Amino acid sequence: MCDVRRQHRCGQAEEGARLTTLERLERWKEAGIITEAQGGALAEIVRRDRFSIYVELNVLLYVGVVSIVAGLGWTFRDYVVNLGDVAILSILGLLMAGAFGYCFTKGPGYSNDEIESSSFGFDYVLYFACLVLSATLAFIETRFAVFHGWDTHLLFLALVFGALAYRFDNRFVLSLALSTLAGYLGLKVSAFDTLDTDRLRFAGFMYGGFLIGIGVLLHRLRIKKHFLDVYLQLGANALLLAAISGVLEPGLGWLYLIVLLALAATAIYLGVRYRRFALVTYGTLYGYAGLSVRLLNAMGGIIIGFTYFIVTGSIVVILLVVLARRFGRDE
Amino acid sequence: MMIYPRDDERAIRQQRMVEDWTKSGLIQPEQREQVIPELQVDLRRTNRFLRSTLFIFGYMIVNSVVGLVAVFLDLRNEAGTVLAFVAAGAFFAVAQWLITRYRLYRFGVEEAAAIASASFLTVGSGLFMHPNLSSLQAFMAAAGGSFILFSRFGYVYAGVAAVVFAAVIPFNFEFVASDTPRRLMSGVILLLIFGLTRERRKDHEWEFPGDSYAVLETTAWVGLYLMANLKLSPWLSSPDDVPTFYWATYVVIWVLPPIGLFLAVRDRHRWMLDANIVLAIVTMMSNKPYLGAEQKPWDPILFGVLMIAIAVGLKRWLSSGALGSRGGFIAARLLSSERERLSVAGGAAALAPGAPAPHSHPAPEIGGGGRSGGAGASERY
Repeated sequence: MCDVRRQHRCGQAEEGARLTTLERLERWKEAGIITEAQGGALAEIVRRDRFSIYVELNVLLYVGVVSIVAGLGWTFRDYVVNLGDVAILSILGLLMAGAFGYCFTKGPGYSNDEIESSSFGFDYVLYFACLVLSATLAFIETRFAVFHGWDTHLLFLALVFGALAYRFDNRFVLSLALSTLAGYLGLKVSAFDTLDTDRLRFAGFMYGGFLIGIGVLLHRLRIKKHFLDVYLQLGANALLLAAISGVLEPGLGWLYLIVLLALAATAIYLGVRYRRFALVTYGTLYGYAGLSVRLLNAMGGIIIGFTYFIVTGSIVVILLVVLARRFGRDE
Repeated sequence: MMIYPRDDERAIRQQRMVEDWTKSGLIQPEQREQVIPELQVDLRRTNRFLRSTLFIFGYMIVNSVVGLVAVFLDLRNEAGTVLAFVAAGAFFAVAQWLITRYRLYRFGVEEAAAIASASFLTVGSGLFMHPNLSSLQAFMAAAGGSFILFSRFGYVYAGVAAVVFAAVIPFNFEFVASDTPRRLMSGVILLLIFGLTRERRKDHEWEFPGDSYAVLETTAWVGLYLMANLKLSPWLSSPDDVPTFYWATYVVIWVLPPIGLFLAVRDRHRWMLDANIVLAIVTMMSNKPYLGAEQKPWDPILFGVLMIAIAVGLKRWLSSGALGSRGGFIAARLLSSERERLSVAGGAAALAPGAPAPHSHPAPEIGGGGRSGGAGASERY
């Protein structure tokens, strides 16, 4: 049985055999590449003498915030008669005022660049405030039908969340804004009772195009450039999903396929050009799936199907390997 | 025996650490330039997006080839079983060949061939002497095949699969009809795996392959909890009406997370720490269903307040220690990768792909000189 070790680095294998990270650090220190202080600090991290539980604490905060808001919703739904609208709205209002008040008084000032959070838990206070705002508006709409429908309510929330996300540089809230906007568009379309039809796909195209457009525009204007990825990922998926969902439609199916292939090619091209390989993956998978579904639907036959997958799959693999060797190095 | 030299595996991990240290401002870019050449390995790698795409297409091709052969030769029953075994051996050899010939490392294509070999071994074993598929044989083969992939190629996910498949084996014993002995046997298997992987992990500390064994150790521990928590795993097998066992499992689900947390804190075991935090939360959520008590609408509020109180309390307690640390534990971010880990959790929770989590926080000074985090990038040691 062949071993990679025999294929290469034979001479070096002995010299550097099984060098631990601590031994490497020691060598770099002796060679003067890193300082004594750096070596000590890094060794502490490697030995886990310094061990951060930053992620764990953040996850606890997130779970806590989501649980509280879910519990509030459940409690108010079950006890709306006992508590009364005024009491419920007062509680929600107080929570919201407290949370937003904290964010606006303790939060960092606005900057177009990425900014640090002012304190531990600040982002979760903002997230909590947004969720309570959402629950409050949902309660008002359910009880008093102020907005005469959920679409206005969702659009309003999407705009507020978007503004807050930029004001406080919070990608959690930005995601909340973008998913709320998607909900708004879905509701607008379903209002025409035309779900799963071209109108819904058109909404998908509009949504995806809007996200990518606004993301690129704000990036060019140097406003929160680090948000671009969120827009691109969501936007690309929305566009490609909208296109692929129509590929098997009678009549317009071929048109959708052409649009899908054009979008997939664009995603791959831009993904390679700007080294955003998630776009390459989306373009390849959506494009291949759409084309295959359409072609196999027209051809049929199990042998043709298997042969198709072998031949076309091999072509894709070869192209991806070439791509990986030229551009897609390990990250 | 692993196909990749241990030195290369370690160098790859050390490369990632150096990148992380550079992003975290713990070393300067020019220092990185000096150490990275030393860590270069002669293996072809790619990023995770191309890797996953190559895996999907590779797996599709492999299965299509076998499907085409089966259709052409019109294979049925025993012949189909033989084809599955032949395919298993052939694709294992293909995976080895791709690695030795083209020096691929986590490239997707060779992984597809390797995983396909385990899949075909599972199918072939399940059908062997049993035209209607023996689930016991299938799971045993799946566990064995996955373990071989882990041992030979070092795929941690294959090791995790091996642990899971091994734990499910007792649920396919025909000679044991009731749930209680099946769960007990599964628990014994998982405990055994936990002990073995823990020993192997300790042998290597946190260097490769210790880091891989740490994942398997945690998987076995979580599996043990899952077997014990009857409210969480009724889908696996309907629990018997045995009161003693029922209340024993109730005790176990309260005992396992604290023990796990103790071991995690003592060993500085990140995987165990994270897993046991989740298990502790699950235990709290399982408590009322276990006791048959009614869930109250305000339960989530109390739970949420408790979580926040624990987080804030821990943060304050750790921060009030000397240099913001107690026993080496700190509440602040040390490395850039911690932020990325949070972004994965946050992205999954918010259904926003690639959305990094909220902000980073100013990191504490370490090592008497630089600062971790972006703020430290400008400071020299």
